[in-house]
Amino acid sequence: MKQSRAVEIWVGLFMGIGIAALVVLAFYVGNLSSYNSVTGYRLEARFDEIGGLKPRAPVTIAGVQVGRVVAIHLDSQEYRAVVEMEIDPEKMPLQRLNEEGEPLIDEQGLRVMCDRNGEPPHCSTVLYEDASASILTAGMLGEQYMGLEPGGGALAFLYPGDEVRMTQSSIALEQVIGQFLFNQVDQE
Amino acid sequence: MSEVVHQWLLSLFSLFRRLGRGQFFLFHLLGGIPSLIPRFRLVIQQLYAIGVHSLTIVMVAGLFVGMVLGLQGYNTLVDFGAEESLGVLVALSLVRELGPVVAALLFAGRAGSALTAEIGLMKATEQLSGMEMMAVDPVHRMISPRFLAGFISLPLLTAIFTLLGVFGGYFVAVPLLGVDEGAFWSQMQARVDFFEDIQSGVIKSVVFGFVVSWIALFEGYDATATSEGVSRATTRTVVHASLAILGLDFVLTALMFGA
Repeated sequence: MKQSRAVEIWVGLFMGIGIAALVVLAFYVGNLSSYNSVTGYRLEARFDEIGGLKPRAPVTIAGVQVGRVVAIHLDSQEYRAVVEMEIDPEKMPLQRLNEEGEPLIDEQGLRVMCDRNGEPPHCSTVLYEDASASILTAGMLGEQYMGLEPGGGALAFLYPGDEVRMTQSSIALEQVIGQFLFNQVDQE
Repeated sequence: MSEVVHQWLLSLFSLFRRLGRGQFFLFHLLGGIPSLIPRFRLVIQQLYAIGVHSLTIVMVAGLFVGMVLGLQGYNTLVDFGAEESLGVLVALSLVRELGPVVAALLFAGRAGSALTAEIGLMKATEQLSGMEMMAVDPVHRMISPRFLAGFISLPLLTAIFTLLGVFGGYFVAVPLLGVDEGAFWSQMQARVDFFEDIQSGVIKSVVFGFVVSWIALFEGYDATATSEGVSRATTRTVVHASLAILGLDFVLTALMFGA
């Protein structure tokens, strides 16, 4: 009886370690938690060239990740790539607007943010209408991600579901080299 | 000439007969699994013999495989200035291929051969036919719990192997070779996909657990009831199980990642 108790403990330990290893693999190595189905609001951007951008690539502002690319498809009318991104409202909340479409300011001079369920027309994103999106590369050989610039020249703001109109395509190394060679020939 | 053809045909027939017996054996032992639910103690004992006893070899092997991957990968990647991608290299190769395959090969050598020898010896010493005399189905009583235990053990052992391999690679890369710790983990987490990589590794290990347990138990059950027969069956288990693992690995990889 005593021996069988030891056997049970060992088997329990074995199963526990095995399942824990699976969980660690899934969440730590495989980063399963990035699949959380927290639905944010969507933005869209059209690019001439997206290079190696893939769904699930990070969307960043000032280097801080605020969302992910969820879908990429081709607009066959304009031959441009349409990139849909989902922004996590926990990381970049919507702001509250007053009747004139200007951001509401509280006593301390800070913008008032909407809660999770805030909807247009009272809530807009914190990006201005002249915000821009560009496709950037992390490191020399790193993965590609989307960088957003909030803009600031325009008065109006982008609403959830809007399109970011200013876009900077991914820079292909071949194009840069080609342009460089072309300029060299021109100079001579 | 006709003698040669005759011999050849005979061995072909005996091969098909063995394959057929293997199929019947599989259905027989699967039929015994429902009756194990009230007697789960039998499975627990086998989990101890098969799973817990394989733990040491799997853990040590995983650690060393990961460390070697880290060292070799570093030497190649550093030429391209891409040693930050070492985490990706170690994790992806372990999760997708080396984890399931090496763990299954070790499992076939460590646990599969022991299963074959045990069942073959039971047969040689007429313990199995003794059970039949007592109206106990020896396949349901002796083989089904071993099969279930092997089937459960291998995926867990594979997960432990893979995880220790990743940490082995980490120990070589970060403290020893000076790869940046943040880049090591963050690139790994960015590139290793749960559904594409980890899930397919787990599917592989489940398939291998099924096949290795089946081959090991069938070889034992089908062994000639002599000491020589048992030793031959044990060798066959290791050879056939290893070949089955490598062949199936190709098929599964082609199905999941290929074409």
